[in-house]
Amino acid sequence: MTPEIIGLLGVAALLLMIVLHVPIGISMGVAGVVTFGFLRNWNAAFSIVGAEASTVFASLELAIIPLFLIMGSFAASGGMGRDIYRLAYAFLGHYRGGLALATIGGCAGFGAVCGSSIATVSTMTQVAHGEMVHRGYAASLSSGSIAAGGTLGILIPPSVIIVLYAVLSEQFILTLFTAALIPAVVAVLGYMAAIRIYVALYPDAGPAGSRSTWRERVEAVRESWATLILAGVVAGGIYSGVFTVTESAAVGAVLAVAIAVLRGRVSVAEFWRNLHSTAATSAMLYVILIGANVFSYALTLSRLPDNIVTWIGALDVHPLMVIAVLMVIYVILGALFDTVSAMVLTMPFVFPLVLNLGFDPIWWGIVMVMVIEIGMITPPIGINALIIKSMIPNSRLSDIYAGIVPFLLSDLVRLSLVILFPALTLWLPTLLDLPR
Amino acid sequence: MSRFIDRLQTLGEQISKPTAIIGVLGLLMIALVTIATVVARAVFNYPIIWGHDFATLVIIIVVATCFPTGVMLRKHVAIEFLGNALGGKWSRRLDFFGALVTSAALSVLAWRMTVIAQEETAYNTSTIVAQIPTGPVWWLAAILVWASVPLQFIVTLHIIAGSRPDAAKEDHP
Repeated sequence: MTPEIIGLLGVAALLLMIVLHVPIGISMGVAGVVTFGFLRNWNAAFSIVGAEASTVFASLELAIIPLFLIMGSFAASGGMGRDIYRLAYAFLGHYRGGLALATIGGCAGFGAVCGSSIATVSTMTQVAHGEMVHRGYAASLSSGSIAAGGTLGILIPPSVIIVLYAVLSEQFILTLFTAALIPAVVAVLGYMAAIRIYVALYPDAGPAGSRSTWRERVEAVRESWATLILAGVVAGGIYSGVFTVTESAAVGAVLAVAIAVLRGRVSVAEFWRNLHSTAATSAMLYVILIGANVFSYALTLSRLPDNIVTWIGALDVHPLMVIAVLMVIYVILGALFDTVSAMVLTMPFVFPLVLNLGFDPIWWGIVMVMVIEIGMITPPIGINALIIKSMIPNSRLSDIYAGIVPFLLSDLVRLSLVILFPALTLWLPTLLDLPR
Repeated sequence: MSRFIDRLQTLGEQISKPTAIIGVLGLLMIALVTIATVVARAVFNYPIIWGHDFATLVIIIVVATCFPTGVMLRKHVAIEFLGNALGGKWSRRLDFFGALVTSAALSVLAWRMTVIAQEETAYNTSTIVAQIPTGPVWWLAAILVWASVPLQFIVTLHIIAGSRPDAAKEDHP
């Protein structure tokens, strides 16, 4: 049997295990060991588990992930989502659709202190949904804006998914964070434009609120001091070069815990629960990383990715056509799998292919995060929609999905722009002369 | 049977929960040392040279302490379309299969961690600056990963008995 066939059987085994309820990280690890065993020998196959595990366990770079998870969980339980939403409302609430605009602003602000899409959706559902319903907003607009706004959590730095991509593809985290900035701003503006167009077409869907006075706005800024300081220190530290990304994650984690505790926003039970939950999520991500590394190693040995790259390279198609096909595949994957799985499962095949087609790995990382983000609000799964449904049981999924449509269109426009104009991601890292 | 599993569950939680919390507190300690290093470097122009060594060792233990609680809370990303489509009985069988494969994988991981601990001890490996021996740290990590194996057994028993302990809310990124 040729190595390529063994590699292909390894992929088949991986997919079969995933279908048979084996956790994805474990499936990748087992498929990797078995593939490696058949390609070389079993002793070497088991050794690779130890080698990859020890590398992952001892990586200080990966400590960024649990540190950002701590920051996110304490930012959420410390009420920072509510603060930033009030701040956005003070400035945007008087426009038609103002609460939905404030939700997007709140999601963007909260995304800057919490790298998780799911945490952003859960927090903003608690904070914003009731208010929008109370003010007579259409159910579709209120839930659609939260579901779509939640996806900003994984695009706006610091983002755990971007850190994972950086580690798996061996790219610089800072460069990726910087590359995500302009697409993130475009995303926020695009979502806000979608809301404005929607309320222009359906004026009753989002009635305007009263205009806040400047005194109220100053008060809102004052109440949001903690979130602004946290976001400012973390982002400012990273981009000014005062901190490395790891140091910034450390500062962010300690600051988020300190702020939540000193403001008395976190009970003792909640404090321990946050730590416990961080540990469990970290374990899950570490298992996925070990499994992904083992699988990727075995697959590289089988030369299967090389062959796919050669085969696609021999086809007479424009590289952008290949990217377009990949986008469709990722939207489907993002709708069926969660973000982490969609990324790690495809990485060993897609990353070498994209590089071979001559695309920049930094650009690809941002494009991939964006397209997976679209999958998070695409039926039939669309995890963000399901979270809203689970938190507001009397809401209807049909309303949520209908509300997502304008944001989905905005996403597709943004994705096309970033694909057609790579400078949107690469200009800033080049300008700042960041390592590539 | 059910009471027996519940007792095991309580015992498992008594082990995994404090372990995880100690681990994450260790992570916060790394964060504090990192901040101290930044301040010492930037303000006093005095690098804390042992800071990196300390963090490199503690992070190994921190990661290992997360495993038992990850297992107990069934914190995995798994796709359950097939089970949902086939119905309750088949779903449970598939869950059982998934749990068995997870047990085997965790055992292999623990075994390989033990091998690493043995090698680190045999070669007297230590950190570069502070010369702290790394062997004991890897032994502790291996023990913590081994502790996950019987905990996964408790999870498997739950599946056999048809009782699902409360899985953690999906708060992954």
